Amino acid sequence: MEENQEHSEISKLLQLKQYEQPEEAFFDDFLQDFKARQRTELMQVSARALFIERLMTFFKERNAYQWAGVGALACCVLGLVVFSQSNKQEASSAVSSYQAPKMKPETDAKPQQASQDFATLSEVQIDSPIEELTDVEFVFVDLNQKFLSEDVEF
Amino acid sequence: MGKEITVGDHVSEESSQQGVDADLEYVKAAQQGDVEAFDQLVIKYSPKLYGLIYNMTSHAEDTRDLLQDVFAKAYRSLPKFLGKSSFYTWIYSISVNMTLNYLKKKKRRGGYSFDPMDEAVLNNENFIDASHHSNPTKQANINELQKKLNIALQSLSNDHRAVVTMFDIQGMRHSQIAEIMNISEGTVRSRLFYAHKQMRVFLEEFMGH
Repeated sequence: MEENQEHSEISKLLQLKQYEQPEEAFFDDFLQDFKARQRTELMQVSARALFIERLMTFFKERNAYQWAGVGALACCVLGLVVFSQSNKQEASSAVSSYQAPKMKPETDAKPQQASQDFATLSEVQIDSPIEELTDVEFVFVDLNQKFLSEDVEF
Repeated sequence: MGKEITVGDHVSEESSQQGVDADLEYVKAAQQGDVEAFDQLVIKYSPKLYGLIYNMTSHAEDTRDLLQDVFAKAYRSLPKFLGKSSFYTWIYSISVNMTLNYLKKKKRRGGYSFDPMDEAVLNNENFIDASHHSNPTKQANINELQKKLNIALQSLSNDHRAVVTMFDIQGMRHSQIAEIMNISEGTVRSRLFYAHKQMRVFLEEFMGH
């Protein structure tokens, strides 16, 4: 009860802070200062921002936001149609201009290719430092297990 | 514009609703580019917001600058105001947030400057009671009370001072403060309780108990 009364007394004292006020002319001057500030800020707005603002106002006044949306959608659809058409044309011209390569019999090609691959691989192993062999996959095999499972004789 | 000091007045629901409706009319007009309509809102709210910012910052010059910033921001943000809350709550939220941000930045810089206390305080019964408790034989010392009140307020954290300013000094309701500060009413009550407890030490000589 006494605590409540204390809080109420503190409240009453704090209400006296309302009497701390600026001089009478302050609020009249304040409005004038604020208007002057608004004018200054308006002068500083860039031409681009003004253009965008005017454009927005134009659309707003004519309730044209929905028409702008429809227009944008139409542009997208048109773009997609044009894009798919040009892809089709490219594909058909590629098919017509394609000439099948003349292949040698497989029996001749395979050993030659294999020997070339081996030569390339051996060059890489010899000339390149180990740091450069980033594509090489190292496979670690537990030799003990391999030997045991295959019944290797020592 | 004359000074209007109404201590401890809580605005009635009806007149408050009328004020809200009038605000909305001004807001709608201002949103459509009517600069005069926004001026009316500035005239209406500048004394209240001045009191809020001044008592939160304890710095008269900074209050003037901050108040300009608050109205400038409100004017720029006006197109985003959808009327979900009242204009009163909206502009108070802007003021509280901007003042709290200012106080965070100001942390390292000290210094206070106070407006003079109006002599009408001499006729206020709360003041007469307080001065009687402090020194019954002498004429009340306004400066002493003002000094103690400001020291007591400065002893609070920024958040606690904001709540005390709105409730005790400006006579706002718990629910309004909760909405403005985006906290629960329980938090408002608890902040008030601890703030009063803390300020009691500084104001003891002006109290009856």
